[in-house]
Amino acid sequence: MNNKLSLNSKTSLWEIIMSVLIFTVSGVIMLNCFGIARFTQIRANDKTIAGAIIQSDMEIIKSLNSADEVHEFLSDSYDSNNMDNGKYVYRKYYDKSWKQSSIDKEYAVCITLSHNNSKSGNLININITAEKEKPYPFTKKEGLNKVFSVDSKKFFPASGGSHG
Amino acid sequence: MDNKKINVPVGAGGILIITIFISLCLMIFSVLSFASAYSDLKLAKRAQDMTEDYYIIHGNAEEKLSEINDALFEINTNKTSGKITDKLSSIDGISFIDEGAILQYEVYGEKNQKISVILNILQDSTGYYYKIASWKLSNIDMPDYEDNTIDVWKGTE
Repeated sequence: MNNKLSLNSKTSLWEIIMSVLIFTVSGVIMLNCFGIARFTQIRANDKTIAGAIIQSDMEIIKSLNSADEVHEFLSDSYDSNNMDNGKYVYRKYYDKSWKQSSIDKEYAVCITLSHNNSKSGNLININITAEKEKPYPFTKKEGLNKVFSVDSKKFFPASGGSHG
Repeated sequence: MDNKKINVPVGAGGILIITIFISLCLMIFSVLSFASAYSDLKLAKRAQDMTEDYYIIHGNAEEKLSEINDALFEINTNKTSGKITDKLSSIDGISFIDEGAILQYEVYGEKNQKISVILNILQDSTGYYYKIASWKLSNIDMPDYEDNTIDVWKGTE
């Protein structure tokens, strides 16, 4: 025995138009909300990953024994380096999934070093910044290319000073 | 074959109610997903602020170390007489323990964290030099637990 189900709808044209209208308006709001949520989540993830990369590099720099060792480490692990106004700038690139790549440049991690030579040693000002090449969609545009940035200093004594 | 038709009347306004219900559900989902993502972003920003503050005070502590090393270098080069404490006391924020043999200073951050450094000032044939005895990161203010004693269960009565 087959039972056939049929809807005996008594919908008016007015009702269909209203339904489409409501669905369109709520759809626009919904899509915006989902879009903002998606890119907010990407921003949060980027901050966390960039923070881990920056902290790792900063701790390596802090653990080294001389300014020469710092430059050697950065020359080996970074894609490019150049001098800008007396500052050393090292740069490496990451793809969308935060894998180091020099082809797909979605993110850049940039280290700027400036030497402040004193009488008894070398004080280095360190700035590490992670940037996104293109701004995040659905969000405010100003200053959003910068994902994470830290400033610090490291002193390398020429004579004396040692860690106990 | 016996075909039987069942008519289910939806009635006027049914579609409108279903549309509103579906839209409302989807909007709630979208708002919830945004709220979840935004709380993740807030957490990441808070971690970023703490990290930034930590590296700033770490840098300031290193800068102070360079000032102390400069002062020691000056003493060694000029071979000046007098107490070493008098020479180093010109540096802001440092204090001495044990008549100048141990020196300490603290660097404060904005996010309730500080670095406390203790240096041993030693001397050999080349002159004075420092040795880092302690480099500690801690909170500036610790929460006060004294008034919040909890009467815990002490086992079988």
